[in-house]
Amino acid sequence: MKLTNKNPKSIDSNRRKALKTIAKVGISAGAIVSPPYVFAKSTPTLRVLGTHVTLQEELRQQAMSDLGINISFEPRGSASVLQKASLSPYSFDLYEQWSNSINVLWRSKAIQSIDKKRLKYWDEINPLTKTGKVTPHANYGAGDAPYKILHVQPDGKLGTNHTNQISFLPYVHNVDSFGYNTDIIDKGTPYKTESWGWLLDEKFSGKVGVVNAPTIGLFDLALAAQANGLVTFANIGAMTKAELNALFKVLNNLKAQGHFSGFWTSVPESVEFMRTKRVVIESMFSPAVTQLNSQNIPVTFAAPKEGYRGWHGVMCLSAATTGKVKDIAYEYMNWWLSGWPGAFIARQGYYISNPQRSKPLLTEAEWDYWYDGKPASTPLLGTDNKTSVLQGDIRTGGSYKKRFSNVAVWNTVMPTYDYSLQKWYEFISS
Amino acid sequence: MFSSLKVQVSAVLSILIFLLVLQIITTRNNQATLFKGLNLSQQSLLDVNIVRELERDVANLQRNVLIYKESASQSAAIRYSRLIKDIEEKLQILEHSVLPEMHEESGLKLLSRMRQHLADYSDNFNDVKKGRTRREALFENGLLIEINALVAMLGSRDEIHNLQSLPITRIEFHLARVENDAFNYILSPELAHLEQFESQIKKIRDILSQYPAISELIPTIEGSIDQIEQNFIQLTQVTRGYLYLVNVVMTGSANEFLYLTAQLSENVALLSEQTNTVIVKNIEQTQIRNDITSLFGIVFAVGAALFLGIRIIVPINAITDVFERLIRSKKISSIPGLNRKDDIGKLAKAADVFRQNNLRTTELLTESQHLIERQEQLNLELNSAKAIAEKATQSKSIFLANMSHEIRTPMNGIIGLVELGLNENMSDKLREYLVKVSNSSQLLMTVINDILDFSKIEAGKLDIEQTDFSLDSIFNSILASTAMRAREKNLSVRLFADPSLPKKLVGDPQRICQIMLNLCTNAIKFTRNGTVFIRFWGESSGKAGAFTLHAKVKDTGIGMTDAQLVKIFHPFTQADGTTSREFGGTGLGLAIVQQLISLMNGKVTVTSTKNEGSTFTLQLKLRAFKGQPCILSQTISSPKRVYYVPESHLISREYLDTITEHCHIETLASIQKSSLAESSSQAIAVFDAKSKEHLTDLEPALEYCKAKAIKFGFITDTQPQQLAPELIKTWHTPVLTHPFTPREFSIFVDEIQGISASTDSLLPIQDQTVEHKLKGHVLLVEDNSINQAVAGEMLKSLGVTFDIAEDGQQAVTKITNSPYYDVILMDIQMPVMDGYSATKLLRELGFTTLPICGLSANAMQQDYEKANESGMNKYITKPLKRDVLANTLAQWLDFKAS
Repeated sequence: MKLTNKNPKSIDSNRRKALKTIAKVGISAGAIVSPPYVFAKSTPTLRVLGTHVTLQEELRQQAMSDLGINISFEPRGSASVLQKASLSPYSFDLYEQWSNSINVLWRSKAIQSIDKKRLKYWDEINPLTKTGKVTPHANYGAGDAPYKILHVQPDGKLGTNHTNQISFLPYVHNVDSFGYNTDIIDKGTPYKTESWGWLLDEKFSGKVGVVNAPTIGLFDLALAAQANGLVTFANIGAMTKAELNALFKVLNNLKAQGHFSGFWTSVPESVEFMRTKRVVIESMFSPAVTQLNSQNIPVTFAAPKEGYRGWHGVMCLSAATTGKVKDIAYEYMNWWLSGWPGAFIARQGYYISNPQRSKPLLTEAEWDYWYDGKPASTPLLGTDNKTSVLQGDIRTGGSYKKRFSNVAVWNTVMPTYDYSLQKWYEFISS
Repeated sequence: MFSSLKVQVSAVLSILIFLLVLQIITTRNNQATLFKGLNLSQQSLLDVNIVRELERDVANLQRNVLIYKESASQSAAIRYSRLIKDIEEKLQILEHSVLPEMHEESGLKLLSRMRQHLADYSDNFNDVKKGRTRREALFENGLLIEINALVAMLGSRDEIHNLQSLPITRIEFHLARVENDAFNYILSPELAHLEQFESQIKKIRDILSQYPAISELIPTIEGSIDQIEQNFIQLTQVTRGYLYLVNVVMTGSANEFLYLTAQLSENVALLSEQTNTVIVKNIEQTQIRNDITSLFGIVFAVGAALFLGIRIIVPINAITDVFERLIRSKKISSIPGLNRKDDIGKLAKAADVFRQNNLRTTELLTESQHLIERQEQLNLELNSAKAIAEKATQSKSIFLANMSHEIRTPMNGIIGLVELGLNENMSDKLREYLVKVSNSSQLLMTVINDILDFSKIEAGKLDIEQTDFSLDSIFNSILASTAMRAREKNLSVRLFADPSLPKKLVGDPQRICQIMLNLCTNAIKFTRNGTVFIRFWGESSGKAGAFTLHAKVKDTGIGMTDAQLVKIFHPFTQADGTTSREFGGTGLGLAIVQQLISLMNGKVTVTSTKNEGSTFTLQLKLRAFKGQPCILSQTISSPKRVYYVPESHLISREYLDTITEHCHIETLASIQKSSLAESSSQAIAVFDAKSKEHLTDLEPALEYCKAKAIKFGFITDTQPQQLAPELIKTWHTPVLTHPFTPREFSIFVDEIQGISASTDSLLPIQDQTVEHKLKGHVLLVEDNSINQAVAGEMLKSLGVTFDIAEDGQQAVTKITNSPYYDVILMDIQMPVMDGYSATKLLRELGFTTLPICGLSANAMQQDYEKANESGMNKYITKPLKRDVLANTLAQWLDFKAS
């Protein structure tokens, strides 16, 4: 709190003295620091803003049942979620999205720091967010690696030095790549033949989908262009304007040829793209692949030889949340790491930051398949109780460690972000 | 079951109807599909247009959003909301247009996603508006004003706050740069400007940090710098935010919307095309299906026709042919379809039966022709036999008539002469002989009459008269005959007639008497001891004048067995063979009774118990005049009071109640105690007298009555016969002896009272007719000398003078010569000229008013008719009876004045 808004009182008082036209800002600032009356209700409701990835009804019901609180979910597209959160911290209590939104939120002071001491399972959280490496030989990955933005530094910025205040609760995370329909595209070999370059392969012209998010899709396309030798980047996590120009030149050309069929904004939409055969290859998130497989659509989640695009889920506490609601927000954060949710999302292909706590709640076959990269010894059910993994299947990309040792880049807000927005607009609307 | 033609024809028809219905349904379905398809096609075209318009609207939307993003133009915002409204309306139209007809995946789902995108788009635009406004605010208030305020504060070079030592120019320079960077960022939101901004801020901070304690205003300045920086960062975030929304999210939404629009357009076009294809295909299919159905229908109809033809019409024709041949009685060699199990088979079997019947009929015809021939022969034979029989019957009738005549004529002589002889003085012995001769003659006449009656009835020549008669005369006749016979056997006879019976009835009294006498004679004949009860009653039968007379004759005789009862009414039969030996008789009596009764539309029944007696009950259909008096009734002279001492119940209570209002039933003891005196004038007493011994018992009561001056009389039973004269002798009072008629009872009552105004008296009147002598001259035409003697003696005894003619011719001559005869008695059968011819001749000669009465032993109806035809006034049968003759003559002759 202190670090989120340094000496707010003194600033406020000074400003009142000094500025005549403070009113508008004052209301805004006041809204941040004073608890809105709605929170005084006897049965508090925890308002969670996020994406479909983690805002699932089963989780909400389970949490309400376990914690005895009211929880409302507001699932939205990732961009919309971010915008809403950054501009209106008073409209939510907890924010669940990916790590690339942290810099934006933190700079706009929409979120407050989280007290490590109130996190029951902090010590169980694995090294990925603490040191950046799950194995000694792992890549850190370019861009906003989560360990770089977790800790709140004494100067109020986010950094790698460990402090007691963190910007987000590390929990759900995964690596993403692209999925392809093996009815159309021959199945490749993980880490060997499967390549980001396929996304720009002219063979699939008109049947390619990309996530509509510059902080995510841009990297998919950059990795693809780089894989195909069309563009090279000094640091793919921090592309220069010139590099962006070169990349978008390539992309716009392809777009003009109708290479891209669509730009999706949510997981269901990506499923829809693939299911309706609008695309045969597209940037994808893991649960979409699981869903499609359970609908007997043979989609393979690639393990690109160039490495994955990693993402890390972040649970952030709204700068406007205080008191009782803040307490239950902590309860909810602790619940997330208490085992059951981790096991639940494991069945959808996501990882939790303290997997050992979820392990007892998973069958051996499940653990072996989802975490250890071993063949499924029995058919595995998804959270919808339908078979999502057939017996003998092996998770593409292998074990948790293997996958997280091969992260090429993390979802990132680059310094050229503003410029990339303009280029992205030109790209998708061309 | 399927063998029935009905079922077969029904099945064929059902299939035809089914085919027709199928055809109709298919056609209707096809039409409906076609219609729907055409509609769909048309609607699709409209929808494609709407979709195109949607595309245009979305492009416009994007343009306005971009305008707004750049200029925050309110008119762009207004255009934006108008477009959104338009789009929503179009989506609404689409939703209810062809989309529901499409696969959900390619129609409504797309629409729903479009809606979702539109909603997101709107939400996002609102956020953009908010962001854009916020950026304005941050820039104006948070940056420019703040910077100006700071510059103003520094510019004042406030000595009080010791700001002079600050390198104000440098700070102002950097602030100007800060402001410049902010403007640059507004123009072109790039990180470089932010970095520039931050470096300028940092420079200001560095300057300020060199003068830590120069002024107490330093922290205020630093705070202001912080605020400027903070606001700027916020500004960049807000800018980034709405730029992100516009550039990425909204553009993405719009693109997706456009994509979906294109998809929808494609799908609608596809639907339209598919619909068209389907329509075309449908039409083709319909054509083919119709062709097939029609072809199948035709084939089936032809098949059905053939089937019906072969299966039904041809066989029916064949069978019709067979029947026609059968009708024309032509020869049939074989019948088709006889082995079939259906209706044709049945028809064939019927034809077969028909044929066989025909054959049999033919045989029968031949046979019957033979029979007819034989019949004709037989008829001929029969006719001749009939003629012979008729001749024989005629002969028999003639024989009977002759016999009758021949027997009656001598009998007439015998009876007449015996009757006349008895009037002479002679020895008692001779008189006894003559009486026996008379009785035997009477018996013989009865037998002859029975035989004659029976013959007449058999020959249908007996007629039933319809004349009015008095019941009392019937009772008299019955009693006169039966009482005498009963007395001979010492039997009692009782007659009871319902007092309510009318005095006169219409019918044949002679035959009724004959019936009753027959039954009563039989009853007496077959009864050894006991009583014969005769009872009469009757009732009006409702119809005008119809009256049913009932009679019952009950005896205590030998009775009959059931077997005997069955045949007693058969002629020449008696109960059994021994009967005739024991009781005599011709065995014709009951047969005549039954036949007479049936001639009178009556009926007779009999019940009998062997050795206990028999009861004959009969009813006769007669007529009676309405409103006539009853046989027994109260009159002025009727006694007011009757005291009856019923020692043996000899008087019916009904008789007593009929004649008086007060009937007192007394005992010998009680009658002496009752106060008789007061009503002595109008009261009478009646005693039952059983025997002489009984009289002793009666005496005190009789004496009492005498003392009280009560008139009294006695009733006695038929037996003992001597009682009545003795009672009369002893008490000088009327005695009534059973059997008696109701009238006799009435007279008896009057006599007790001393009234004898009535000419009828119970005291015997000596030969009443003798005193009535006739005056006149009669011509007796009779060939038989005995008959001449008998008739002559009778006429003499009647006081008339007579002349005799031997035959008809003589009679005619006598009458012509000396026409002074008052009456002609004309025998029928005579030599020279018979009675008919003589009568005819006399009438022709002008003797039209001369009374001529036929005399004949012939008692047949035809004789009466003949007599009537010939011109006779009357006809009486022989043997002549004095009273009959007297009555007949009295019609024409005057009585002599005495």
